[in-house]
Amino acid sequence: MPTIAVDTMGVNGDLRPAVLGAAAVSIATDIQIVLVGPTRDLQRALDETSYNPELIDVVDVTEKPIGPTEAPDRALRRGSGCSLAVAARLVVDGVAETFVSAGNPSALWSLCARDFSLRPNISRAAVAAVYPRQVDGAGRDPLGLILDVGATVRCDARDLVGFASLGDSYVRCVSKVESPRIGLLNMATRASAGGPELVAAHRLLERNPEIRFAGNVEGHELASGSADVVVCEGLLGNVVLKMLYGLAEIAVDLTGAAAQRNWRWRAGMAMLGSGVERLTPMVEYEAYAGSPILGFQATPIYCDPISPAPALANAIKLAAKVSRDFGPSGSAAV
Amino acid sequence: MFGAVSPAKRVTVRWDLDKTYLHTEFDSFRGLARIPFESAQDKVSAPGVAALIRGLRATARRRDITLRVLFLSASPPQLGKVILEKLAMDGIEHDGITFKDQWQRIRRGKFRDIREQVGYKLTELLRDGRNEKSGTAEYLFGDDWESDPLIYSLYADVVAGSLDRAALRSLLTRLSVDRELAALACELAANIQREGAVRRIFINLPRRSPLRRFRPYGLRVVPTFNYLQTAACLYEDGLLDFTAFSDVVADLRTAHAYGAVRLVNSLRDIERRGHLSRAGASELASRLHRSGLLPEYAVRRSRMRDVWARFRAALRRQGVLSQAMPAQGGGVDYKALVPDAGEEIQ
Repeated sequence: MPTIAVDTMGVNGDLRPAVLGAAAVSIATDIQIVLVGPTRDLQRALDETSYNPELIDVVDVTEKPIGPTEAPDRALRRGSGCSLAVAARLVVDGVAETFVSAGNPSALWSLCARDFSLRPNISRAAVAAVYPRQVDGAGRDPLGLILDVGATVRCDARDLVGFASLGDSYVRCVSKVESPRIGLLNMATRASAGGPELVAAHRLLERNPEIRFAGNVEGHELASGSADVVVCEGLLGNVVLKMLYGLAEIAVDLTGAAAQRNWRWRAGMAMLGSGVERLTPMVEYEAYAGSPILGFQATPIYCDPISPAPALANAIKLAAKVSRDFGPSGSAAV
Repeated sequence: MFGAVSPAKRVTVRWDLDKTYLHTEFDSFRGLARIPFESAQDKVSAPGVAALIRGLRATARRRDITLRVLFLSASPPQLGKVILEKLAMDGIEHDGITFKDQWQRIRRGKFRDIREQVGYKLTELLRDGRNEKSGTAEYLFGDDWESDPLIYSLYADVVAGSLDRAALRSLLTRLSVDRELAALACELAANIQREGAVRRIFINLPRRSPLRRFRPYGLRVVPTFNYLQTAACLYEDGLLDFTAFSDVVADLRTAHAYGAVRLVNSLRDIERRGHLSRAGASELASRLHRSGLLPEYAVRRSRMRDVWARFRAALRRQGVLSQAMPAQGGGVDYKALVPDAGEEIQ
């Protein structure tokens, strides 16, 4: 099983979620974990829960973590010994296959760009995320993949084609979709829509025999599941993703609030109970673990700084799965 | 380290059987119902435990230590034949096994005593402990399934003289121990005192209980997740030599498929928890590597993970590296363990 380094200190030094998540993974799986943080505090946190010491190692780091608002370059100069930097260094040194962090995302990105080399034929790396979508028929993955969601604010056509290639091989290797459909997020389905970069990207993707291009995908088609992978530039991807999660939360809240108002609605909700319960995990952040950063030889997993222990546990499992199934050679050539 | 003391020339090791030596399934009704019909071949010992006890015996011979290996079981004597066969199969030479006579308890109408552990085990420990010669070091081995940490700590403190008979009586009353057994325990506790007799209490963790549960017992109680951790502590205490220690490692690797990284992680865990010195852990890892039981990569990974920590610690402390977490104090916090204990408890 792969070894996963875990930056336990995140942005505020609260290491309990990461430790509890790692402890839960050590009990349930064979994944080797290296916790990076202050040894004494880590051991105290481990003492509070059940864990398997055979699968957990600790690398002592006492330096303050990079704060949420610190400028990444300055923070990295200051914090070469912080938990985030040490976790990345463990990957470079070959101690761990990849790492999981709920640290400062800009610093995480800068570190990866500094310490990791890109995969062949990839010009830029991308942050990927999954989102719930409608699927037509059993056996299809209920989650779609969207990238980039914030790493590269503006992209050219070559970057977008690289993202398509990364998304394609990731979904093939990790989600086991045999022939994923790749969509290009745009304002209209016609090939000439969008700016020159999108038009050029459309042309390149259409001509690429290794990719099953589904054409342009409009915003409303994301949830309908017309593409397994949707590529876009970071700014757009980030806005879309957060809007999707926001809408999902609103839908759940509204349903709950409506049920409070009227006994008939309440009765209706009770009858729909198990159905609603089955839907809830679809909009819960914890279920999605974290966001893989695709394009480097290693694939780190980024988690939101407020991630609870179950989310971090899922992120560690995802990191192990990605390391095993989406190794350095997992990317198809562009 | 709590137990890092000069090795004694006379040592007694007292073992619990179920869940400590044997992997007995009494947590399910099916498992419980199967026990009377199991043969010695059906019994499964915990990984590494048989190699460890054989190693204790072999080391004692090589180092001229007088060793007694005793088992204390809550199983009825009717299971004795099978258990003795199993121990013989595992090559364990022992100096006695005590079984719990459940039939006698039933005949006397003491049905509550059938499941009771504290009174039974404590009185049996004290009964045998009275015959120990002065200067004998004792090591006790139990598990996290029932009350072994408490029973062993009570015994250790009675023997050490830090728990007098009044305090013991009060504790046993609060623990709802049968009055006759409590009285017997207090009687046996008289004139048993031998300072520093119980060196360590090892608690095997098949349930993976959170370690915070053992904090009130102090560093004398050593919760261990596998018998490599136990063996490492016994190596540091001089009860196992390297040959015997490497036999435990070889058994875990060959018979139980333990990987090299798992072994190194286990050593580092017991070191982090303050039961094994950093020097001891490093020495064991290097010697295992030199003798071919750990591949280079496992030791190298371990070394690499230390690089950052050592470098900063060296700068911060001007070359002085901390050895382990600070000792949590030797005394047992019985007030935390038995909240309603009387004023006699210090």
